[in-house]
Amino acid sequence: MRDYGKGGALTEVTFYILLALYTPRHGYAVMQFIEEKTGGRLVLGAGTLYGALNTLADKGWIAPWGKEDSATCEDNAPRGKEGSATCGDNAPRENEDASPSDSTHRKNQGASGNRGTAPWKSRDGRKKEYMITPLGREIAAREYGRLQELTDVAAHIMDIRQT
Amino acid sequence: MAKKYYRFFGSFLIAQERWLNKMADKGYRLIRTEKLLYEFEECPPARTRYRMEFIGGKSKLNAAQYRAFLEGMGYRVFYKNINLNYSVGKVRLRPWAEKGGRIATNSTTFNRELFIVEKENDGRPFELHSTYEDRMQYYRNLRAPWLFLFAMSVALGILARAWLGGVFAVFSLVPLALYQLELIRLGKEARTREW
Repeated sequence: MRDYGKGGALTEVTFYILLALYTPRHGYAVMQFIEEKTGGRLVLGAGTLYGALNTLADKGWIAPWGKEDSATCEDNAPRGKEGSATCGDNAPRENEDASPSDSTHRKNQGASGNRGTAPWKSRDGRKKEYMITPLGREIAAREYGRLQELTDVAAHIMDIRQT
Repeated sequence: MAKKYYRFFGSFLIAQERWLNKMADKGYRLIRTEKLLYEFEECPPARTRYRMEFIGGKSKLNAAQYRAFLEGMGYRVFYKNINLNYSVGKVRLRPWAEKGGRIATNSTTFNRELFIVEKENDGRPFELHSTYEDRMQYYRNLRAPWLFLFAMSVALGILARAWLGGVFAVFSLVPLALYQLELIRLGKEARTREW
């Protein structure tokens, strides 16, 4: 993926995935979100989506949700926007593994090692969910600014009346 | 009533895919695979769609994660062998594979180089790779083992002065050239269509 963090453009697919993950979502939900928001114009293949999610996770722009690494937890706690559960809030999750307190959960997750081995339990009990990270939010904000600048220039040149 | 069919497709992925879809059109749904066996159960015609995915370069863990992801998307995934090999304790080096998956054994990725991915037929095309970049990466993965085999054959042929090297080189050149041509075609299309 030719994505650059500084001054360059994100691909449309990348930006949409980042946007989809402002709320924790699993793969299928991301695909549905993008398909719905683009009115069927962008339908992602499962293989493509899988690769994209892995690449973004490697870059640190998204992270598996519920992994409770301190960065995302501390960031989400004060925001709590869009009804997304904060890291410490296990109440909406219906999984059998839900531990009563979040510090023990955090300890358990740390012990299990890399993200591949543990079968991540999420709201529907099976699928691994992702969430955007603070770095990802920064990247998304930068992209929005870039697009804003682009459409402003275009509107001016193409003489599109903005009322 | 389960029906059993015996076929071997080797690395002819498209042929395998076409056959599975033809069976699906007739009203057979795959329930089990072995090295040569495909077991089907009856179902309404054209109920399912199949797609082959080459994962020979992935490590056992990555393949399992990919499989879990695909299942999370609502697909059914079967492992399939690409070669016909009956062995115990087989160890095969795959330098062309990804970093984590260079050694294939019977308990890891040997005889599990392919996925048969099944989805319910919703009338829409079954594409696992939908962007040019992703598709090109997939074709590079497909090309890798053949490129390696070709290079090794040429090296062997030259170093050992063996004509057998030449035979293998020609043999591996065909799929290598086919994948390379496809990569070139995709590259051209990507350049003209997207940017």
